[in-house]
Amino acid sequence: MTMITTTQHPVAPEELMAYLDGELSPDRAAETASHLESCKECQTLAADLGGVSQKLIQWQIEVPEPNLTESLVEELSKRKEGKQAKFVAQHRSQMSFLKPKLLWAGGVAAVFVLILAIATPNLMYRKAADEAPRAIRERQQASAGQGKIPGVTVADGNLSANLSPPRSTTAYLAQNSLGKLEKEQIEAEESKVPANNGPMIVRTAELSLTTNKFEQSRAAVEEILKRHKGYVGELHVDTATGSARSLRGELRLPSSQLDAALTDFKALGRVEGETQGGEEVTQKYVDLEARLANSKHTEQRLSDMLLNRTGKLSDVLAVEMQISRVRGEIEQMEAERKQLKNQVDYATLTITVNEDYKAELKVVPPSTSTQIRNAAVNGYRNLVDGLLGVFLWLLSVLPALLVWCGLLFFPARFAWKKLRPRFAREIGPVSGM
Amino acid sequence: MTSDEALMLEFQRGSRAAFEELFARYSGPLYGFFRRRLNRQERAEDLVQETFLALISATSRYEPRSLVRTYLYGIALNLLAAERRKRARYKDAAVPDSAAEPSAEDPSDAVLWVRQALDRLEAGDREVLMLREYEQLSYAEIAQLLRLPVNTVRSRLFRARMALKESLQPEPEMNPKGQVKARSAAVAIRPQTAAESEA
Repeated sequence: MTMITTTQHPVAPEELMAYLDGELSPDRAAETASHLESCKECQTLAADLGGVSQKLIQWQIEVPEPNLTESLVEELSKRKEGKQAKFVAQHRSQMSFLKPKLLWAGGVAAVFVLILAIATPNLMYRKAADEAPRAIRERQQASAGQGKIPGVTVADGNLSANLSPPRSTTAYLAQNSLGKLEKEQIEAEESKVPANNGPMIVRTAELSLTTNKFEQSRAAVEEILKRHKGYVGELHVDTATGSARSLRGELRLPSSQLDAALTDFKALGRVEGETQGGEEVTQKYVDLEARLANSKHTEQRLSDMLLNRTGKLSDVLAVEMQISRVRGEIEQMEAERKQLKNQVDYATLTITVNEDYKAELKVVPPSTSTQIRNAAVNGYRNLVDGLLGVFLWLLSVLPALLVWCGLLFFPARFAWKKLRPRFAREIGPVSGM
Repeated sequence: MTSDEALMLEFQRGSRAAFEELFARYSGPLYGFFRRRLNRQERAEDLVQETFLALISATSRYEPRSLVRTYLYGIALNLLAAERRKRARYKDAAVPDSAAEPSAEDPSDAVLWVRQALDRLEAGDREVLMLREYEQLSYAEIAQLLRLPVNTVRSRLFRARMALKESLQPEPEMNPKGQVKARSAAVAIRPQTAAESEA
């Protein structure tokens, strides 16, 4: 082994080797060359290195005639035609360049289709759900419009705000001794309303609440009523000691305000129960109108008879009695009509507010054996519930999971194949780039 | 003579003649590259073809920043690594690709000796040495290909050569273990390099 030290040699052996390989910078090369001329040790080392290269060179490989193989020629010609993509996939080495793109594109497309498939029913569902409340709103607007006659609605509103029952237009006008013609005109308008504005619905609702601020709830109920232009039909407040206090009221609200009022009432406490109902009374109303018109016609004819014809006193009395009977029927029917209209215009809300009452109870602790038995039963029940829960969860999740696994399998496998060699290469010593 | 890089750019523009010229220049050296590292002749030929196929498909991505030669040997090294991985996977069935394995050819004693000596080197040292001696690559090119610092390439090369010098001595007295201690040469040299750095 040749030992060279820098105290004797200005050139390190590796540098000498680099010089022989032509890898040294020019100024360093010149220095090394001049040193080499005079230093025998370095000359020996240079000779050794040269000898190694000489020996290595002996391993020569016989190179076969270089000719382009068919695959290369084919590839070149296809490249020329710009169809590189198709045939590239034929070769393993090239598959890594092209196939992944197709795989990715396929994967992305599949995921997109899946998302679309999942989202479409939901979107459609939401649309259908949107339409339902809109229909309800339209109906409410229609029923609210039924009782509206210009100039009267406002008066009605004011009256109801004062918590007194509204008076129907007919009654109001009759009481004020307005001309018969005007009265009939308005009645005719009233009777037209339901025919023009769709069905007449009598809406009812029941709401049951529990609250721990009972003192405030009555004031709140009245405030909400006032805001929604409703009035109290009936109100009971029970404040017996030793038990929970309660408030029960039958409230009348304009039909159009019912939903909004319900929302406000629900804010008063915890909702324990809610019921809503609607009864269509269009047919009933139309029937009533027809009978009313008929009776009025009869009354008119009887009045004419009384005016134009002369007869015995008994006949006159008989006609008067008939008129009075018919008049009674008319009054009854008008009252019925008024009530019906009121029912349609004003929904009935029955509200019950109970105080959240915490009664003190003396609980006798159960015996040890009962406790053990209860614990065992509970344990068994929990076990069964848990197993059932897991089973149900699997049932609900598994199909989607399988689909996702199927979808992601190929991209994942591709990624694995692509990444694994890269890792291996980074670890491997000679594998290079 | 047109440079490799110019030929490559011509080929990028669609010149088939340029590709043929590149193929003529490099199919031989590449065949040698694979043949010295793999035992089977037909695989070496296949891999040369695959190297050029990869070159064709990657033409559009070639940028004249690096030498075509480095580019080609980079592809070749990748293919070689893939081939070795494949071999490792089917280790039992496949023929080992060690350079020292006897091949179909009838090598002379000297060649056999060289191959055995190379086979005893550490894999990292051997690759650097072979790239330098047979592929005639510069230190910088080897460093780029193997992703090593140039100084590491130089020291590995020196270590490999010193180890070979010992095992290629005329007297064929080998280490009883059959493993030349490549490090012994390096250890003998190392104090000097340290002294040099101090100086």
